[in-house]
Amino acid sequence: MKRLTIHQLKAKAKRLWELLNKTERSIPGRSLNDDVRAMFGDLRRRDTWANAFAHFYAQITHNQCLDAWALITDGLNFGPHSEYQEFGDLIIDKFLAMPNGLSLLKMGLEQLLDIRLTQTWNEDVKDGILWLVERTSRAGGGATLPAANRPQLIGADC
Amino acid sequence: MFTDAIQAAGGDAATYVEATVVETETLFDATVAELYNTTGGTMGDRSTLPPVVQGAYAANELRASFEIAGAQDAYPKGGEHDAIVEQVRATSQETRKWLPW
Repeated sequence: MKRLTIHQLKAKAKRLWELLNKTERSIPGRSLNDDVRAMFGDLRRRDTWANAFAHFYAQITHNQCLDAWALITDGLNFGPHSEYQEFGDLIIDKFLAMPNGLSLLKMGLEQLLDIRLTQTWNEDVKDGILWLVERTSRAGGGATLPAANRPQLIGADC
Repeated sequence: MFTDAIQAAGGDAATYVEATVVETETLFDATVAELYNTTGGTMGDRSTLPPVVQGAYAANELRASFEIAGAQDAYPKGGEHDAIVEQVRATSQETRKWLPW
């Protein structure tokens, strides 16, 4: 996938920031640039806007989570085919740092194991968060996901 | 079905999040967090919401799935996210009309 430009990142960060202001019922009059500069630094740098985008994304996903299972199939699904794949680790780290991040992910996995999945969702999970978990484990020299616990478990007629 | 429809129409990871925020605001005049708080439900688990609320979501998402599927060929390339969110808003406004609140 093509790398997102700084302009695209800015636009996406802005959209999420506006959504956050709405859902947090913030007092109007805030400035995106002031917020981003205060929290993440130099506005001319691409990684400032990457951090801003990742933070706002994790925040809205965490604060307004209607369905925990959708975190895994959609919201945090940053596998190799996602345009956000470059920021997958960053977003998930930020999400897990938030108060209910881990428990929401656990809830999501439990929900997925209880409901019937279509073949499409099985592929999404395999290419999405489980792929990220495996890749992160390998990079850290840790254990990979045991074969027995791979998505066949989820894709099986449950 | 709703998530499938959004994905099939070209929505990305962020589209579902924004769609549910817009849907919730339009149907209930509340954020997802407010809805869970005021009903005493558990965030992330819609089965803990009152049945009438679950029903409103289900009816709305079913309708939105069909409407997205029907309209997606006309969505501009690169503009699918916005088009999907606006479709969800429009569908939710229609659903709202026949809800009892």
